[in-house]
Amino acid sequence: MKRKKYALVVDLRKCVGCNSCQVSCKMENEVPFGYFRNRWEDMEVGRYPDTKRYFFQAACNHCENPPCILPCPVKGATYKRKDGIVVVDRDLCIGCGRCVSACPYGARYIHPYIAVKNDPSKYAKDVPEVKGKSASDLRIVDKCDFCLHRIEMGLEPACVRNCFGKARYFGDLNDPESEVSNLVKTNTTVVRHPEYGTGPELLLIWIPKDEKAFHMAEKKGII
Amino acid sequence: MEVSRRVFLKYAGALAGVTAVQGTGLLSLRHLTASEAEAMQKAMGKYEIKYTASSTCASECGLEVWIKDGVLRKIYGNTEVPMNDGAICAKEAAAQQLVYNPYRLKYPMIRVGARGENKFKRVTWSEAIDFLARKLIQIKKKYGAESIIMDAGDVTDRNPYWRLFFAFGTPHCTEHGAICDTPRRHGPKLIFGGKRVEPDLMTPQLVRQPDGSLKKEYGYKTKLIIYNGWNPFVATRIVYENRGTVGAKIENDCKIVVIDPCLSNTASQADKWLATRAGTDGDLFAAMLRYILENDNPSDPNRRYIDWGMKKYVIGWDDFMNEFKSWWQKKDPINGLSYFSLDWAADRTGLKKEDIEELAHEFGITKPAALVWGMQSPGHHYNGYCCSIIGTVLNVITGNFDAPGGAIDTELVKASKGGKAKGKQFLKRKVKRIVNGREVEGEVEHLHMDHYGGKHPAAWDDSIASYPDAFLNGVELKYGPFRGHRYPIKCYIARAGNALYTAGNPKHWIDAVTAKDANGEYKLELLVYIDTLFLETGVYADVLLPEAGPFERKALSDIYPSRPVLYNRDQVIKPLYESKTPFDIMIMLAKKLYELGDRDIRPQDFWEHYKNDDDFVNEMLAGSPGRPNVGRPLPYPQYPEGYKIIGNPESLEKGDVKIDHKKKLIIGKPVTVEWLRKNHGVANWPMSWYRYKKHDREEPNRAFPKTDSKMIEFVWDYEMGGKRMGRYSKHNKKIEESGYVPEGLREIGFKKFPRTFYWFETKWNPYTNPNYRKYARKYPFQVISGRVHHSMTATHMVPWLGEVQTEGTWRKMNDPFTYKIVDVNPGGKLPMKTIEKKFEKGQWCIGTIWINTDDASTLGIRTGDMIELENPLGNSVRGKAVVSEGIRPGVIKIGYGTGGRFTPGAGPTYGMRKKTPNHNILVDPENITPIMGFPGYADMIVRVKKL
Repeated sequence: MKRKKYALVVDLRKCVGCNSCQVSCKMENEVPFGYFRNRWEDMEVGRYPDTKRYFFQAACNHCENPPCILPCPVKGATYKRKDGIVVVDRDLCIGCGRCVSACPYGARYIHPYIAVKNDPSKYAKDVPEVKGKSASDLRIVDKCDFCLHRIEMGLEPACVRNCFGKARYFGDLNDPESEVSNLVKTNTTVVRHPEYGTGPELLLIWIPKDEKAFHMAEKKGII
Repeated sequence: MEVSRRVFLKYAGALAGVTAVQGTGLLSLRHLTASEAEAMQKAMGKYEIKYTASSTCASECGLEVWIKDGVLRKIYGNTEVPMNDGAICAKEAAAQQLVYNPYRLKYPMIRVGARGENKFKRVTWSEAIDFLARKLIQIKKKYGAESIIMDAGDVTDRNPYWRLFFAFGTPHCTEHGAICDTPRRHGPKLIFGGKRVEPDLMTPQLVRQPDGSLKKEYGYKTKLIIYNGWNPFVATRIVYENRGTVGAKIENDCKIVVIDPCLSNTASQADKWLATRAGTDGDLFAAMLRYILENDNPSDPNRRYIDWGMKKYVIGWDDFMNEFKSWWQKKDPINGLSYFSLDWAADRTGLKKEDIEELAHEFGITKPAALVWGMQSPGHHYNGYCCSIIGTVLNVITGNFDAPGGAIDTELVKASKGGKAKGKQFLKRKVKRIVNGREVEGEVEHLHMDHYGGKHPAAWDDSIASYPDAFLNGVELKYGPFRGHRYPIKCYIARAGNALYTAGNPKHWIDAVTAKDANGEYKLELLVYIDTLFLETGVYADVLLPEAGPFERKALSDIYPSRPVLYNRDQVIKPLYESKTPFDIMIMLAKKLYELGDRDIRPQDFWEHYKNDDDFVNEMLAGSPGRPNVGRPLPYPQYPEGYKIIGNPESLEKGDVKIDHKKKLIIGKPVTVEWLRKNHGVANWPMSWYRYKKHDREEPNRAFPKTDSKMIEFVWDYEMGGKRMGRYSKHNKKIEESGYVPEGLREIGFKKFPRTFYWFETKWNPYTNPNYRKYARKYPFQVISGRVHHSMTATHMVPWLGEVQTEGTWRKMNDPFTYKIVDVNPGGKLPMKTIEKKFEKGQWCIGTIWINTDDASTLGIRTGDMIELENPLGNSVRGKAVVSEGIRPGVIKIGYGTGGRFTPGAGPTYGMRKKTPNHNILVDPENITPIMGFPGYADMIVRVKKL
C-alpha cells in the first residue's frame, strides 16, 4: 500500500466566517485563551460600495522542509511523520521554545498549562534556555497535528468535522481518487509564503476566493 | 496488546462497549475487534457517545457529544441531523465553557436589598419553592391567576412551565418568539398559516424513489437566492443556510444577492451586495412586485415572470392585486412619486433604479429561486408586516413556493410536537369573574391580555413589549365574555429569557418593575427569575431559581427544516451545582401549590401522570410528525394521500400502521425518547415538494397549507360556503361585536384588520415617513442592530467566543483589564478551570459601533475612538467606533445585545460595560408595532459625537 500523504484543503469560497475551525480546534486540543493552533482572520478592502471582505484561516503548513525541526535540541521531540504530519512528542519536548521562534508562520506556541515530561537537565549544557529549570518549570510546545488522535481512529480533524460551510477537506494526496486530490487538480490553489522555501509541498492548501486578496493578506501579515 | 497505527487507519471506528464513532467518509470504518478496541481505549480512554440538541443557541444543532466520567469532553455535529449535517459553529464548539462556567446561577436565592441592588441571600430549594408557591397563591386569591405571566423563553424546554401555569389558571404563558421577529412571520402566517420562508437548501434530502426506497439526496437545485435584511452566516437560526448558500453558489452556480445596509458576512460571500437605506425592505419588495405585474408577458420567454398556473391554488388573487394596484394611482407625500414605481423605490431605498429593475427581472425569470427576508430588518420595523406579506406573495406568484430549489415555509413542514404536555387544554377550563358588578362565566383563554385586550388582539405570539405598561397600568379586556374586566399584572416569571435587557428599552422595563404604589410596595409584586445564568432580569428578581444548563436537561429540538425532522434534546450530563431541570421544577412547584390548597393543580395532571421526564417528552412526541401525506414524490405512496402521518419512520416504513379513515390518520408506532436514542438521536421523515398540489394532478389537495380554506390565501377575512374565514376574520368579528377598535390599528388609521393587501409607513424614518422628516438634519444617522449569534446576552462569559471577531460590531478592541474567566484544564477532572486573566489590549471582542469611512472622516472619528450616539428622545449610548467601507453612509450598526451589560453575570463583557453600547437604550418604548405588538427595535435615528 502506498504511503499516505495527508493534506488539509480549505475552500475559502465556502467559508461562512463562523470560526468553528478555530474554536473546534481549541475544544478538541485544549488550547487556552489567547493561543491558537488554528486561527481565523478577516480583511476588508475596497471603497464603498465596491467593498469586499475576505476570510482567511491559518495553521501549520506541515512543510516539506519544516524550519522548526532543525533547531530542536532533542532528537525526535518534533519531527515530520512519513504521512507528512509535523508533530511534537510531548514525552520528549523540553519546552525550550526554539521551534516556536523558528517557525516563520507562527504556527507553534508554548502551552501555558502543560508541563514538560522529559528531564531538561539532560540537555542543559547545550540548551541555556532550560538551564537550572526542572520539568515542572517548563511547558511543552503545541501545534496543529491534524488532530492525530482522531486520524488514528479513522476520523477527520475536528475542524473539518465541524466546519459549518463544509469548506474543509482532509485526505490523502497520494490517493488520486481522494477528495483532496480532486480539489487540488480542478481548482486554483495557493499556499502561504512559498518564498520562505519551506516547500515545495505544503500540506495546508487553500482554494482562494480571490488570489490577489490572498497575497495582500500575506503582505499585511494577516496570514 | 498494541495495535499498529496502520490497523487503526484501516479499521478504526468503534470504542468497545459503547456506541460506534460514526463514519465520516474519510476512511471506511468498521467495529474494532476486542483487542483493537482495548488498545484504542488505552489510547483514548472510555468515552460514551450521546446525541442531543443544542440549547445554547436558537439554531439548535443536532449534537454528538463524547462524555467521560460524566463530564462533557467533546462536541461535534450529529451527522444524521440534516439541519447541521455533522457540523457545528464556534458557538456550540465553545459550549464546554458555558457549562463549566463560574458565572452560572449556582443555587436558589431570594432578594434582600431593593430590586436592582443585586443583594440576595442563598436559600435552599425548599425555602425558595415555599416562598414562591405562597406568593403565587396569595396573588391568585387576591387578583386572579390572570395577574401572573409565565414568560418561558425557548420553545421546547418551556413546556413544563407552560403546563404548570396554564393549569394554575393563567392564560399568559409565552415564549421568546414574542420578541424575536413577529412582523417577519406575519405574511407567511396570513397566507399559508406558516411562519418562516427559507430556501430549499437543507441536504441531505430524504427522497422516495420510484422503486419505493428512500434515498439521501445531496446537491442543490436553487439558482437564485435573495436575502433581504437577513444575514444567516452571523444571525443563524436556519443553519443549513450557511453551508447551503455557499454550496449552491459554488456547486450549482446559484446567484446570491444580499440586500443590507451593511456588508454582512453573508453579503461578503454573495455575488451582489445592494446597500439599501435602513427600513426600506418592503419598499423594494413592493417595487419588485409592481415591476413583475407590469412587465410580465407569458409569450416572451424573457418576461415570463408569473406562473399563472398558481392561480388555481390561491384564493383572493384579484382582490389582492386590485388593492395593490390601487396604490399606483396615489402619490407618496414624501417624494410625490407613484407608489411602488421604480423611481419611487429608488428614491426611498437609495438604490439605483436600474439595480431595482434588474433585481425584479432576475427574480422573475430565474427559477428555482427563493426570496428571503430577515429577522433584524423586516422583523424589527414598525411596518415589517407589509414586507413579509409582499415577499410571501412574490414567492407564490413566481411559482417558487415549495418548488424544488425554491422557497419553503418551514413552519408548515417541520414535525409537530408538544401535544398535550404543554397544557393548552387547561385554557378551556371554565372560570367566573365579576365584571361591572355582574358574575360572568368564560374560559381561561378569554382572560388573555392581548387576544381579548384592547391593543393587539391579533398578537398570536403575544406582545411582551406591552408588559411594562401592563405592570404599571394593568389590563382592561375589550373583547369576549369578560369584556370590561380589569385586572393588574402582579407577577412576572422570566424563565431563560432576559426581558429587562432584550424586550425593548431596558430603562422602560426597569422603571416598570421598580415602580411602587402609594403604600411604597412594588406594583409588580413578584418578579421570578429561572435560568442557568445570572442575567440582567435576575438582578431585579425577588426569587431566583437555577435551571439545569445546556446538556443537563431534556426536551426536543425546535427547528425549521424543509421536511419533518425531530431530535432528542437528551440530558447527557447531570445538572451542575444546585440546578434542577424544568421538569423537576414543575413537579416541585406543583406539589407545593397543591399542598398549600390550590385545587386547580391536580396530582393526576402532574406527578401521578408522569413517572419521569422521559414520560413528559414522550407525551410531547405522541402526535409527531403530525403532517399530511402530501407532495411530490408522495412521502408514503402506500398510504392515503392527504391523511395526517403519526409515528416513527421505522414503523411507517414497515407498514406497522393503522389507518383511521374517519379522522384521516395514518398511525404508526409512536416516536419515543427511547426510539430516538436507538436511532442516532433523530427521526427523519421523507421530503416532498409542491405539498399544496395533488401528487399526480395539477389540483389543490386541500390538505396543505394550514389556512382555513387549505388553499394559499391572499385574503384574510372572507366568506366561503356561508362561513366567515381567513386569519383576521375572528379578530374582526371581535371588533364588530364590541365596537372597539384596537389601539394598534387606530395608530395606523385602520378600523379593522384589512381583508387583503395593506401598506403603512414605518416610524422614525425621515426618508419614508413625512412625520419624521423634520429630524433628518439634526439626527442624520439611522441606527440599526443585528444579531451576532455567538455574542448574545447569554454567551458573553465564554472566552473562546470573545476571540471570534465579526463584521464591524464585535471586534477585539478591549482596553487592558483583568477579569475572571474559564480556561482549559488539561489533565483536570473538569475540562475548564477558573483563572484571573490579564487581557492585553486588543485581545477580547467587545460590542462596537460600525460607521462609514466618509461619515467618520467628516466627524473626525477614527477606529477605536469613543463616540456617543444620541437619539431625539434624549437617550444615548457610548462605544468604540469601527470605521469601515463596508457600511452605507448615513447608517450606524450596533450588534444586538453586545454591550452595556448591567449584570456581573456577563463576565468580562460586564467589565467592559462603560466602553460598549447597548443598542436597546435607543429603542423608542412607544414604538410597538401595530398588528402584533412587537418592539420596533430597528426604527431609530441618532446624531454622533466624538468623545
